[in-house]
Amino acid sequence: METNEGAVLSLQNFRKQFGSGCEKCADLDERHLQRNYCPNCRTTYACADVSLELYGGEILGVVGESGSGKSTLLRCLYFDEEASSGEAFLQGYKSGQVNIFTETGQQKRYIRNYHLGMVYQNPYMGLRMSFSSIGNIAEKLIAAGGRSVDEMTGRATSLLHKVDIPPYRFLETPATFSGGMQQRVQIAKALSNNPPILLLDEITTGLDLSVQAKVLDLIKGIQRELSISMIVVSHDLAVIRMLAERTIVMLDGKIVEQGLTDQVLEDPQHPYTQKLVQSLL
Amino acid sequence: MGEVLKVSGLNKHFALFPGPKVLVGCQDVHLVLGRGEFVGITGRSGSGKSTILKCIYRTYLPQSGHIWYDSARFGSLDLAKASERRIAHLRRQEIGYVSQFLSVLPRITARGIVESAMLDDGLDLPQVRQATEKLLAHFELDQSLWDVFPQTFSGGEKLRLNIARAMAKKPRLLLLDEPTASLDHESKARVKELLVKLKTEGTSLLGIFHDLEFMDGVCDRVLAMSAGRLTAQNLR
Ligand SMILES: Nc1ncnc2c1ncn2[C@@H]1O[C@H](COP(=O)(O)OP(=O)(O)OP(=O)(O)O)[C@@H](O)[C@H]1O
Ligand SMILES: Nc1ncnc2c1ncn2[C@@H]1O[C@H](COP(=O)(O)OP(=O)(O)OP(=O)(O)O)[C@@H](O)[C@H]1O
Ligand SMILES: [Mg+2]
Ligand SMILES: [Mg+2]
Ligand SMILES: [Zn+2]
Repeated sequence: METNEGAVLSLQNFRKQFGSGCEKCADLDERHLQRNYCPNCRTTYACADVSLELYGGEILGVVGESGSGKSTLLRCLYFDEEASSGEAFLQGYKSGQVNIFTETGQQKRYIRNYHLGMVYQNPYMGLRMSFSSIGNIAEKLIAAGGRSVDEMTGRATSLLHKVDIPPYRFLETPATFSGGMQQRVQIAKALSNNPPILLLDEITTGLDLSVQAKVLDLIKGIQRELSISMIVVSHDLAVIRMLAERTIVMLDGKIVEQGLTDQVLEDPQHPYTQKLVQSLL
Repeated sequence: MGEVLKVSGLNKHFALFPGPKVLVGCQDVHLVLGRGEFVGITGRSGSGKSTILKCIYRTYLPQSGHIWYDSARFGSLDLAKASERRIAHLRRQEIGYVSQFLSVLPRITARGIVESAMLDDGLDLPQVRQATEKLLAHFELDQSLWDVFPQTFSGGEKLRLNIARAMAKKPRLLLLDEPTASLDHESKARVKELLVKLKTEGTSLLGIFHDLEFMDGVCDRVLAMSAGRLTAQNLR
């Protein structure tokens, strides 16, 4: 028996393309792409045949250069974009028997509200800048069925405490906050519905080092206390090294390597990973 | 006495892209570690000592060979081929790795480092608080340092914290990669005592050391390496 039986998320042969494709790029084996792009019909194959497993309580890192498909992967899992093909199963949803990509819009909203949390690279994607910090969290709680104002305020307050936002700023809109604070409000919001799975996209990019450290501590602490499973996307290998137990390396929409994080970083098996690790040493 | 570890025919080399260049890490290594045994490895720089330890910890993926490990949880399994999930579990619960470098999250106190090692084990917080203080005191880390970030610690303090962290998990197998390098006599003696204590509590140890004097009196056997191969089975 493993530490946690079964995967909380299992993704199989997931693909996402932007564009309709043409006869030159339709055949998976014969297609001639410029990296992930068909110059003939201008279709981008952002994610191609991605399969992965996320286990209970673990942090899975995803690294890869700009354009490799990392955000697309998260955005499709969170239903911001529609997957082109492939299957995804959540242990907590219909006993992991149903492909969530083919569920109805209403069911997808339910999954989003009860099973997933997302923290976007850009806080403007994840927060309403005209709502107060408490209001932002309440919005997510209402979506997840919250009705009692007192309860929701209590929950929002305790979450904002947890992510270290000073109480006198709870009623301010995040528009006036620093980048690090906005990220922390996003994290509080994403946690509000107690999701078993948290998706985090480049959450420390653009923050200065001491603020980065605070956000990373917060993430690590949350994982430890709440044993939430997370997918952490970052092009910063230092972030991945600190947070992730296992890591996946993406190139042009494909997974080229996966393994224990220290193994991927210290004994990379794929030439691309070697280049990536060396260029960042 | 059973074996905790049995390495056979272990080969690890590194292919450096681009080009045909290949570096030898270790070649055809055979070694056995009995339960409760402490085996030392010595050899020149670059001879492949760390490579062996890192293959056992699966930081390196060997090209061939077996690393049979007797796990409390899974029974006998080959660490060279076990699933990543199992390796991750073993790292959390059974196998510790101490090097001379302390790599920790920034902004976590000495206390936090040891606590988090135990929290990984699923103990509850009050238990962990108490056990942590006991451990830090045991390792004679000055109380004024408990709530300080260890970036500023001396080499010896870092190392003792490092071993405290490894010990917090009471590992079944502890791998030591030159933990005593750059320590003064006094600190080395302290570390030695602690390792002996661990050994008497049942941990099996495999450690790389440069100084033979240190290994005297703690190691049951000492192996020597040269050019990627184990060349002598018992120097003592
Ligand atoms: N809405 C879209 N329409 C068309 N192409 C898109 C769209 N979103 C992403 N792409 C393309 O898909 C590919 C993958 O983009 P994605 O944002 O997933 O990369 P990424 O790995 O997150 O990169 P970064 O590190 O820069 O954030 C890129 O080639 C991108 O141009
Ligand atoms: N991650 C790696 N990538 C490429 N080559 C490596 C890697 N790790 C070790 N090597 C090579 O393998 C050989 C053995 O190295 P190893 O670190 O095992 O030596 P060592 O005996 O521990 O030396 P030292 O006493 O200096 O620590 C060396 O030639 C080294 O350059
Ligand atoms: Mg992105
Ligand atoms: Mg070494
Ligand atoms: Zn095309």
